[in-house]
Amino acid sequence: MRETTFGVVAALCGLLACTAELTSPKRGLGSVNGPSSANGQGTGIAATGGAASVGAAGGTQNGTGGASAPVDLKPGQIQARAWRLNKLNYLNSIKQIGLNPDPIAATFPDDVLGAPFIASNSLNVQQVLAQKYADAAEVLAGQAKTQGEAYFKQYASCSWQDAACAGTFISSLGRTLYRRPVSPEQLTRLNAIFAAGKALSGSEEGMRYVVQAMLQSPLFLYRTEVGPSSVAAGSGTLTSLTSFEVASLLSYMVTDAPPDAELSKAADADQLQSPAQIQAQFARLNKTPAAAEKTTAFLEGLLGVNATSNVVKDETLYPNSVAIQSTLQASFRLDARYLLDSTDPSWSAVMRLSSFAVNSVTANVFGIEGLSGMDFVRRDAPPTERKGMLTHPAVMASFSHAAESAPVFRGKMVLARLLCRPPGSPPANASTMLMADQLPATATRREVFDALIARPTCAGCHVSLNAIGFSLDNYDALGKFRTADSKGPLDVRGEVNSLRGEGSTDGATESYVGGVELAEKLAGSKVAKECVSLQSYRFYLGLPTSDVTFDLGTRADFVDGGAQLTQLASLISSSPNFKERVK
Amino acid sequence: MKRTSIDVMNPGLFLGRRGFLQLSGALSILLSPIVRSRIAEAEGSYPKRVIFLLTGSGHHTPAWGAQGTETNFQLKEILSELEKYKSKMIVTSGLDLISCANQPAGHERERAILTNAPSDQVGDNSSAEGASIDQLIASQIGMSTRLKSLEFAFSTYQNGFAYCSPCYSGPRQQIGLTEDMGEIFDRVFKGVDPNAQPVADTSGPKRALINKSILDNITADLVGVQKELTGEEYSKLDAHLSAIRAMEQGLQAGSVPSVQPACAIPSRPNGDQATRKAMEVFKIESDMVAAAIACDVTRVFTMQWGMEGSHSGGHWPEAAGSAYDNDCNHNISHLAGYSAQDYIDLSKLKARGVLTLCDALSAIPEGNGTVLDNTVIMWSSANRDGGHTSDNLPTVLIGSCGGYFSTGRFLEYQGENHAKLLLSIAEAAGASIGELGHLNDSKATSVLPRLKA
Repeated sequence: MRETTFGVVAALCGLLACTAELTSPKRGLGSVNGPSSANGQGTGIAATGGAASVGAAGGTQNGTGGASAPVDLKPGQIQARAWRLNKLNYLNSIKQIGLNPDPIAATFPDDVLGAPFIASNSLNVQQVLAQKYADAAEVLAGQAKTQGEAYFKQYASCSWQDAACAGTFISSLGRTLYRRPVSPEQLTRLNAIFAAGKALSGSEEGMRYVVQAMLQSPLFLYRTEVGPSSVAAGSGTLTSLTSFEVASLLSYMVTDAPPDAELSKAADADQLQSPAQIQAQFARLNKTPAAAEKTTAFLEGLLGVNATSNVVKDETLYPNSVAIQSTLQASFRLDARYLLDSTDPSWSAVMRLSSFAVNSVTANVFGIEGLSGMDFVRRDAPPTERKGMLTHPAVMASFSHAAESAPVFRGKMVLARLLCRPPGSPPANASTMLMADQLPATATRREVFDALIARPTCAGCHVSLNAIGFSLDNYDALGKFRTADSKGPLDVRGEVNSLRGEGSTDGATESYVGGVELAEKLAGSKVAKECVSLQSYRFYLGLPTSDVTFDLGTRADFVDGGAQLTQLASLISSSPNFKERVK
Repeated sequence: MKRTSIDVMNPGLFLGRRGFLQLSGALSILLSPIVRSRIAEAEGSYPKRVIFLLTGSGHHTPAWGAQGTETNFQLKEILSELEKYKSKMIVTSGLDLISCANQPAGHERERAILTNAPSDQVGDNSSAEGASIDQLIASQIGMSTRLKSLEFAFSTYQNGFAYCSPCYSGPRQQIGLTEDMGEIFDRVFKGVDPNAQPVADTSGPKRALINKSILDNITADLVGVQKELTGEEYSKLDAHLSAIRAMEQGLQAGSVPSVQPACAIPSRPNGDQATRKAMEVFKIESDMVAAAIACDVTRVFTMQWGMEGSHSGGHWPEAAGSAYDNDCNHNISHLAGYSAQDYIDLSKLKARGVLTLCDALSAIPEGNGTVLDNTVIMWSSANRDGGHTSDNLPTVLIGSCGGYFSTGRFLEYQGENHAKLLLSIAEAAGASIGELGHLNDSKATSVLPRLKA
């Protein structure tokens, strides 16, 4: 069998100057001009209510026209926005109105996964997804119709034979689905749809049609954060979110679900404006199991575990690898919950975790003997081999090829995700050809990769990528500890600079050996803690990787407060920028 | 394969299956312009179609392209797989992806190959700063068919990272390419029942109006939300508006009689690509393109067989190293542990996929020729080879697009902007795209010379 000795050598042949997010100025959002808005006259029943069919012109290629004025943002500010519900948000929102999303869940595409989290800023509705929403709405509205008047009665106590009652139903269901009151104009259109359906085939058909319509409305599908409509878009005004918007932001941020009854009640009373009001609701939501799940998901995303299943392993080298990887992911989640539920849910504790959830499927990977059965038990890993979630086999398996470890990917993961210093892309016309032929056949993988450092165009990033990546080469493609590969003993000496840990000065290069020592370096690194704070903004507020602005005060509070992961969402929700948007 | 005409097709767009067969009477009132347009086409010339086929990771340069003169040339090893279509082909050299020339870009070029626009940032999450040519063409010639355009892929999923799509409806408005072949089939042929008879239901027109009202309601709400936004947030809603417009279009065009007697529906494929060889996928996707053309479901296609960059989840069972390297499409291109012949063989596999597509289109008679004659396939890659090289892109055209292109030639250019070729393809298809690009110094404002018949 051919060895994958040099996999992805050139993929990350890097730039002379790598980037460092934590010290880079942020550019403003909104520099792209949008196409002009479509408008026209609808031809359906509800057109009299002001419906506008979509114009045919679309946008110009460079997107000029429309409300496209660029918005200048100061550090920490967020642009007024509409972010589409992600898949989990959507399914949870369906459950909230008493319908069963299971029949349609499997047919929905997963959201685009940015590195490291769902790219919330880029979630939009293209044709395929619009059709998915339409198909789902038909199925779900059919469920409502099957329930008949019983479903109607959940939202309106009056009789559906009463013409005025339809409005009550629509307003009530709409308040929940849209997460804000239904406007008179919206109600007019929806009433017309209900009436037309009812005239055709009775009230249940009217209800079916109107549920179908509401489930496809952008008022349901998007979380808007635009503040009051009295503030003009493009004015550059810093405006506060409405209480309805704060309720949605809080709820989806903390629980990935729409506002519950108590939160909705507070929004109706406009009692989500002061910091105390917001924090009271946050504290309540943060105690729910869903909140713990969300923080677990943060760690999964940060360390790339949600991607594991996509890395297919060579079954000849790693038999039963699919089951093992799946079990490793479950182990990772258990370990994350174990940490978050502990008395010290800190970043340092994450990097210093010494015991892991293990069962008979994964025991061999962890190097633990004497286990049987599928139930997970907590066991200490050999302390010289494994320490912290960084060295968790689920993480190492994620950043591997099919048959071998992926040192460059691992180096990139540490730099980009944990230190917020993403390497650049390979430079234009970087020659990578025939590199293997220039070295003796006995060359180790590290020697081959380190040859890149001699090339000026590659050295800028590969010095760091290689030094960190190969220090993690003790873990094979499935994350099992090893000391040698087919070429001989592994050289896992590593170097990393400017960690700003205890006793280290800014700019200092620190040497270490192996993943255990790297984990300890990261555990004490102020840079890593600041990066976690930055990443949490991306995760909880759905901010884009490139344009993220973050609150310097929150970052300092997180680091100075012991970098407790369970405090991240709290710090964000108490940030002055939490409920402010530039419109 | 069953033969059927498109008038019994039930696209099921937004209505689901239930409603659509009841619509033809109602919608014929609303849609007469499209009907007139389609009938006119049936009586005269044939529709022009464009297919953008991208196979990521380039080719081993010494084995790519042609040698000889413009009209007396020999295809090199990789393109020799397409020898039977040599007379319908234009082999190019010297076309550069100028928009990326000054960018430290490698794999991000996938965002530029159809947009001529640079990426908004470096790295896996990057997006193009402009719309892609396929979407621009589709916005002009795709409005009379049920689908404006169709996009799908093989082996493009990047583990843990975003889909690296070459298609953009606008700046940073990426269109994800579908790999699930069952989903592609559903999108093209959903609800098609060759044996279905129109339902005699007097409620049909009323239901049609209600369903139209649902779309109107979505649109009105979208416009309402959009007016509260600005910049790229505003543009984000445009993508949704376009999608709704496409659904309206689907409703309208779905009841139009077919102008293509060759319209036939293949069997629905299993969606899973992972269990198939690459050539099997190429064949299935080629057949679906041919069927979609025969039934005039759409006229603009973008296909991506393998992406630029690493860590792709798809596999290439026929390629060297595939047994143990799930990133072999990428690694082979870098000769990273692989030989030049491995790289050539992988490219020849892709060429055979292109051959399959050509064969599928050539099998459908149209006028005095075949569908391929009224189509142009642009086969290219966003990197010339594994060296992250953006000049001299490996690009060939196959098909004359109704006689626009003078084929059977080897055209050597000297550093021309690749985007000019994209404008030529647009013009060939009947779309008027004045310029393409984001940056002034790389913007294309004219078509590529020497291509026309």
